[in-house]
Amino acid sequence: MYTSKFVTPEIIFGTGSLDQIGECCSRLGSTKVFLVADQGIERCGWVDKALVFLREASLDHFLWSDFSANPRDFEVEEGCKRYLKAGCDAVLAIGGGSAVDIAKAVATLSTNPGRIHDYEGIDMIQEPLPPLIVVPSTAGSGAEVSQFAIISDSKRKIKMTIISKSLVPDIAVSDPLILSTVNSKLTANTGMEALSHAVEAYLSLAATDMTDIHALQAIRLIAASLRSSVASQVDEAAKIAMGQASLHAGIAFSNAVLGLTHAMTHQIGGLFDQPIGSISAVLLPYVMRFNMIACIDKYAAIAEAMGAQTKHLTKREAAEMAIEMVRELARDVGIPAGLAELELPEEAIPELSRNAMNDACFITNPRDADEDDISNIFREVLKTRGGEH
Amino acid sequence: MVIRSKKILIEKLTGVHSSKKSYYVALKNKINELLEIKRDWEVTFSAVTDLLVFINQDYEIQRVNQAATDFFTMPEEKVVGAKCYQIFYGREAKCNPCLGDQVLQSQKTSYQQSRTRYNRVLDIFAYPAFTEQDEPYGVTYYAKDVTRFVDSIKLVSMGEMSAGVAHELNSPLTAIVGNAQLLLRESDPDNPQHQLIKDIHSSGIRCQRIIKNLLTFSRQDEFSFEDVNLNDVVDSALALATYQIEKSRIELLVNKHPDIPKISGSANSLEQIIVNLLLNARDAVESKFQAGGKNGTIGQITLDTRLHPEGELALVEISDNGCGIEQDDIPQIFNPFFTTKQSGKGTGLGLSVSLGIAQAHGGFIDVQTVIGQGSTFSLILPLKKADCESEES
Ligand SMILES: Nc1ncnc2c1ncn2[C@@H]1O[C@H](COP(=O)(O)OP(=O)(O)O)[C@@H](O)[C@H]1O
Ligand SMILES: [Mg+2]
Repeated sequence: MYTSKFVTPEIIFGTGSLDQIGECCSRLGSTKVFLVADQGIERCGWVDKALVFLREASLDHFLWSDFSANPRDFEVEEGCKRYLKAGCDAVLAIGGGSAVDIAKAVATLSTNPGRIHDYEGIDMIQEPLPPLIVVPSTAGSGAEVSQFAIISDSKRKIKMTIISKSLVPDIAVSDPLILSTVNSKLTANTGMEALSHAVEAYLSLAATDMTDIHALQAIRLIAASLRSSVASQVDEAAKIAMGQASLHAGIAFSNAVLGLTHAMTHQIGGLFDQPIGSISAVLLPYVMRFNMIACIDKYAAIAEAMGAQTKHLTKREAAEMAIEMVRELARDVGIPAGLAELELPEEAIPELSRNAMNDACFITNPRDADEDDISNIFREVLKTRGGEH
Repeated sequence: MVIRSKKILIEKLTGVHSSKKSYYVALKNKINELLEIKRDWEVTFSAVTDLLVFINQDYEIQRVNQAATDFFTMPEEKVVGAKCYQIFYGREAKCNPCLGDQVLQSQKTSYQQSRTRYNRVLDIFAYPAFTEQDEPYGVTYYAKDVTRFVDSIKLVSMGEMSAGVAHELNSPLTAIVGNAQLLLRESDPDNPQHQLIKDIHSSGIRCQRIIKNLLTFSRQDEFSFEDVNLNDVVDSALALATYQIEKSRIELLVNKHPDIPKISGSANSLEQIIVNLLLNARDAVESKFQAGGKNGTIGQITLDTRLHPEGELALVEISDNGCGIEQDDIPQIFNPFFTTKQSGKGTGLGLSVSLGIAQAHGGFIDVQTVIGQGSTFSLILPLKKADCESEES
């Protein structure tokens, strides 16, 4: 039994709750808001809506959307310069995981000296951050509630993970209406990402009763509603369920951390400059198979949460069923079965495996693994073609 | 071992031992840091032996250092919030020209030397203070008390000069006065020349008196100090001056504080100051009432002795309802040979000699005057004789 801890931000949830942002910012003492929004969200008109609410609260603002989908170190520094020059006193992020990550990083550098690299790792942030308010635009990253931020190191070509309680936003405002402007492919990728968060958090060595409740509820909601959310942009009930699921998954993994799926995902992601779909969703069933013997009971619970009738099944059969149901959901929403199309050479695999073992997420993986174990999983995924379900 | 290290790793990862950094702690540290800076500045501020005074745009004093409160002999609470012209010059209205205005308008540092209250000379450097938006919002005065420097230069050169003049003039004057006296004795008072010789004689005497004054002036360090009762000094001064005053039909009112502690000083010299001030008051009253301002009012001179409510000081205040002093003349009245009186009447040495004596006693002479209404001259002396600068120099 480990000593555990459970942290969440204030969470505001509701259809149309975007109108709360002005009040939230001024309640936290802000007079000029640094608004971080990705270009997609701006194109859909959400920024204009947000500005109305800021103005209603008589708040000044500075809009910044000059960053890429894989936020990089130098972009963080540029953002921080803008923040300081504009004389802002709070950070408001509206967007997907990358917008939230870079907003957290800018907030960090605005009060902490040096470069963002200095804060890589666990609990390196010393000075408090300005008020941080996050409005997620996709249901999946969980960054609106998490204590993580992931920034690309442009020189080393790897993803730096910053872990700190100070990165937990002060307020998360989740408005399912915003999810309705997300296209089906992104809905599928982010929804499956949320599932991988929930499953890995549930299986994590650091999982607790508190995190299990959120993880299982996320799994339940995703299994029930992701298909209909991908199917239709205007299915309001599905959007509400996925908005909730994202929060639950985020709370679960922020407190229980993840596992080998994400330790491996980070390695492949670091090789590419652009986001390449949901790697964690592809890897999840492979890693689940490897981890199964560590916690068969929990696998059975996952199958139940996903809607399987397990009464007449053995534990083993129910566990197999959980993996099969994840595969099925992934197939239904168009997630590839493997990553052969990435054409990664065999020689790259040992190093990727070693790096995965050094990733923080590996610490909480329920099953011990050595370099060979991980390499075998990599090999299997990399020889499977996307369409080979 | 493996289990233990895994436990440690996981607890670190989930942040069991870390919390969101709180602004309370950051704020507390910042406040302490600022308090430390503030303390450092205050220590520096009060260690400066020159006067530092910060005023806002309404000429109100916002901050002063210890040297300034010492200089004005007032506690900080009384100085802060008061107008600068009140504190520096005892004026009721803004100075004209005003150094602060000058600095706020030009936004440049400025300098002036002026004679302030208590007849001290200050070298005042004025610096504009700006807000972050570059708008001026006040003025910092940095002032050096150069009285001793300025006055001692004057005194030294005056002393040297007067000693020389006295020496040169004394023997011919003795001849003039002596011979005139001889001639007077021998001449017939009805002879028209008799009056001419009389004039020569009395002018000679007058010259000798001036020279005597000059010698007193150059020899202030030769006083012998003893315990003196100030009220007794006032009595003997009145014995000399009352006749002169009442002769001019001026009312003289005297109020003596019953128990003024003894001071250390030279009774003769202090008496000389009081006589000087009384005769000046008489002249001032006379000049006003001769100018035709009689209607109903009568000339009046009041002499009070009192104890200063704050410092350990004794005061002899001589007020008159005479002509008062022009604003432009105030800085000059203590200068040797400055007089507004018609030639033959004033020497211009009275106040300058008086001030020299007062300073030799560690005291000073304060003036308050309203043109056309009268003046108050206060001789202010320390009760316990403090280290007295003129003695050393
Ligand atoms: N009580 C007074 N009222 C008005 N003016 C005065 C008074 N006392 C001094 N003064 C001014 O100060 C000048 C200098 O005074 P003082 O040094 O005593 O020289 P003097 O009396 O010979 O003129 C006087 O000429 C007069 O203008
Ligand atoms: Mg005189």
